[in-house]
Amino acid sequence: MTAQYPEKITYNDLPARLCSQPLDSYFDFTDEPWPFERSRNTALWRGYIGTWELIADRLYLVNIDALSSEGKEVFPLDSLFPGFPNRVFAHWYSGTLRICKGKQVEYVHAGFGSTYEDEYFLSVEQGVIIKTLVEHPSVIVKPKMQLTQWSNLLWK
Amino acid sequence: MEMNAWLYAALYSCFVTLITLFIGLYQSPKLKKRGEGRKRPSPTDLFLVLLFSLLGGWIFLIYCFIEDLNYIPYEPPSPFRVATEDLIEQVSIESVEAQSFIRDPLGAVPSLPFGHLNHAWETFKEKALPNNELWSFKGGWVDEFEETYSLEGYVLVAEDGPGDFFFTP
Repeated sequence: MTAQYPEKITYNDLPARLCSQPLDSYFDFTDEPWPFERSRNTALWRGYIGTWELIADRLYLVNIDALSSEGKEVFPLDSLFPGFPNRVFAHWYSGTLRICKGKQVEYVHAGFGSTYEDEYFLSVEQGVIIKTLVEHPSVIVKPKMQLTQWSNLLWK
Repeated sequence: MEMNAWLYAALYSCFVTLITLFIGLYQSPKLKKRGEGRKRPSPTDLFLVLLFSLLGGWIFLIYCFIEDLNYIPYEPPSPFRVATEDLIEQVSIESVEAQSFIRDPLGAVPSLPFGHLNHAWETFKEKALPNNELWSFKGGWVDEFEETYSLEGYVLVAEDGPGDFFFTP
């Protein structure tokens, strides 16, 4: 499976990658048909890229870019959420958000498998952030690289 | 292995037999004319070549047959249904709606029961029959990847047991 484009999110007032799909779970609660064109791009199986904001520890959906036959176009928020064209509180979502910042540490050709310098895991309950965990995968990857260097020296 | 695969295997065996015979019997006309045609293989040689060709193919087919005996066809997980043991307590629509309003300081959610999921809740209510009871539930479900989900919400209960349900986040 091809690596997927992440969602967009503003975290600590800076743009970041959101390697989660909170909007998908909205359709688990409703019987609405999937409104986006799937399979048009193998790097975007879900057919859309959502833009999110975290304001006062609450998750909001502020924009949807959808793929169509004419390319990328803005998908009106109020077509999914009538009466809310600018911002939607994602109270339907409970789970873990994975926010990635910085340079890519390791590329994985599958879904959101790639790792980045800084990764933030936010536990969410009904749209509200309740806990944050920070990881730095570059620190975890480095020891593996050092082992490789040692084995190269031994062979020499 | 499907039965038509056996037919293909039989056809393959015939094809191998024909190729073996051709290789064994064919001699280049040019070489034959120059007297350099290779020695025609003996019937024993031909038989041995044919035997090993067919035997190799059939050993593979026997292996496939044994694998088929152990084959377990894929069964997708059954869709989630609320079980009687998942029921928690009987509730009323009014009490459920009274405690289901979502509050947001930015006003980014409608002032309706279950907020942005209100239309799903209204659709669920329309399914209720006069003799239905409304119950809260909490149950589990395992998907095809053996991942367990804890699901809760409200369910319409009739005389024959739980029926249509509405998930809550």
